[in-house]
Amino acid sequence: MVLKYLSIFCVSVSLLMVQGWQQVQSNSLDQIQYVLPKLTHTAFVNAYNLEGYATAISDRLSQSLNIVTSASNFSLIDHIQVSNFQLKQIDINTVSNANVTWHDGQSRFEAKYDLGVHYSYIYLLLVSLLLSVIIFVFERYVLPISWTRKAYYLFNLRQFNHSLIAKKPEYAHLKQAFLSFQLKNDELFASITEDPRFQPLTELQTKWLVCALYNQHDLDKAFEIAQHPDLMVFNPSEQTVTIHGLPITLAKTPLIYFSWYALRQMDALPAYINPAPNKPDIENGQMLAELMIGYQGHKKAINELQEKGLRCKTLDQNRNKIKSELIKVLGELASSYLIQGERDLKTARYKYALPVAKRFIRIVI
Amino acid sequence: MVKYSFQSFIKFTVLISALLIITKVISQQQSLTVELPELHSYSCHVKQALGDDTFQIYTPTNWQATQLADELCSHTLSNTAYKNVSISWQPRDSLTPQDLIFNKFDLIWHRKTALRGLFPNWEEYYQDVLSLPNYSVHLYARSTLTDFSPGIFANKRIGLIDDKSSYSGYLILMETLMKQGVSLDDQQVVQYTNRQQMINDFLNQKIDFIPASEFHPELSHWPKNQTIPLATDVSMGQWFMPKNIDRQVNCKVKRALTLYQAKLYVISQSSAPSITCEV
Repeated sequence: MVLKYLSIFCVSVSLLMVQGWQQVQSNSLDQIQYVLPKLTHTAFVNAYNLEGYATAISDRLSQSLNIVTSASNFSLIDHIQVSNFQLKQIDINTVSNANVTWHDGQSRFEAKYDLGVHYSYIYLLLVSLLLSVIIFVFERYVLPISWTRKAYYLFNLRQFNHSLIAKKPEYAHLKQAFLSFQLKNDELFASITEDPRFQPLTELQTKWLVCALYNQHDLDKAFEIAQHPDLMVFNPSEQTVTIHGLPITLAKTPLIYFSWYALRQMDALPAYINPAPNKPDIENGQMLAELMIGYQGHKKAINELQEKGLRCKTLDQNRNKIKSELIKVLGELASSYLIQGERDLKTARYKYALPVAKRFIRIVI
Repeated sequence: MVKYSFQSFIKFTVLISALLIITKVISQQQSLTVELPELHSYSCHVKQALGDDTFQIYTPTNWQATQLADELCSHTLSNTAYKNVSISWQPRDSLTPQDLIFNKFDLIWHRKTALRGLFPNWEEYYQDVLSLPNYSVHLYARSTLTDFSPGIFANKRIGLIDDKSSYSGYLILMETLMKQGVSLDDQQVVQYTNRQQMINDFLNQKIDFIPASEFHPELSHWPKNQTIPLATDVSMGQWFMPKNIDRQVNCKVKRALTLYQAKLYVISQSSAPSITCEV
């Protein structure tokens, strides 16, 4: 920080010196250019021995030109010294590189001189100090207040920008997904579009991405879920079913019922016809109870199954719990993973199954 | 990453531009006055000066002017009340009556008629110290010239000094042309601010005619048949000093001046009266 300040200070000093020098140079040149021809003209009327005379004049000028009166009291330049004056008469056609050249009737003159600038160092340092403090303060305290962001918000640029992004056709699916999950975060939308991982996602994967975000996952996890293979992983011990990489927590009992349907799929069993209301399924009830015991299910549920068997009512209840939870978490994506039912023509009762192929199911024991 | 450094770059540019503009504005507040001295004079310090006065001399030309001043500084005015000698050859038409009345100059080389023109009662203030002989002015030409006929100037260029008070450089020739009924076009007249340039251009064949006095060494070998006399008794003027100047100084300066002019072959050695001054 000190280094920064010092460098600003040094830059100010050098800029002031350089520009002061330039200013003085052009200023003095203008004045000399204006005055010298007149003085020379007056002196050269009736003059003889021009070369010697020009030399004498040059000496005279060199001696007496320790000038400068600064018109203002406050000045960064203390005085300047004009020295080494060389005034000469030259041929009309000569190309001159002198500081000043002019015509006088049929004659042509040139004048060369050196300019020495003496700075008023105290003023110079004071002004530089002041200047660098101002610049330093400005840089440190004013600029960092995210001036671009300020400008953005000031002119609603950001939102304008985002709304423009949202309108782009390549982001239509993302927009759709955002709408579907009722997400309204423009900044998030924009940052997704800028993420290189977004580009290769399919429409479905985009939906999963947004679903994950909806479920409070961070962006990295959300992308992981979006790119995840389409699996259903049942893990009753952890009380989760992970669908497409997204973990969903379910209550133990409904989850085990869910897993039971999944197992039936794995065993290639047909859709399970609901037992008749007055005739519970003892056999399946026993199997389900064993399953529950294995996964440390609730005692109450286990007892019910063992005593009364698998009843239609319980099945319906649990299936509804699963459905509501899945819809709550997955929204429109849930439909592929819900237990579906249809009427069994023979028994006139409903039969249910998980409509997911065996290869997409994993059950953790 | 890229965004950050871009922002940094913008910040840097803004700061530097601000610094540049502010320092530029500050620098432009400087104003300086360059003072150049007038160039038509020369000064020297008197050896062993006894006082603080300045002895001021006026001559119409810079010819040998510094030599005169140096002589007065190193010998003539030593052990007098004068500390400095200053000699000026400002253009004649810049002299004012006030210069005469208030004795600005302690020694003047001029013509009586000119002084009278400046101030009719000049004799109350100044006295004649040394008279200089008359001289002649000729018209110099590039080819044989026998007399003045209007035709000789046809398609030719004439040089003139751009000093309307100069006899030899301007007035005499103009008078002659008028008397002869010759009128010149603007293109034929080439005006010079100094004599040397005019003579050089004439010698380099850039112009065809010039008026000049007999004193220029460059023209001393010019063929006589290529000149015509314009005037033969032109007054060279006199040296004057104020009437109220110290008698001793008057004497010393007069002596020095006489020797000086004799050295310059303006007056002949023999006609220079020997002057003795009281100590």
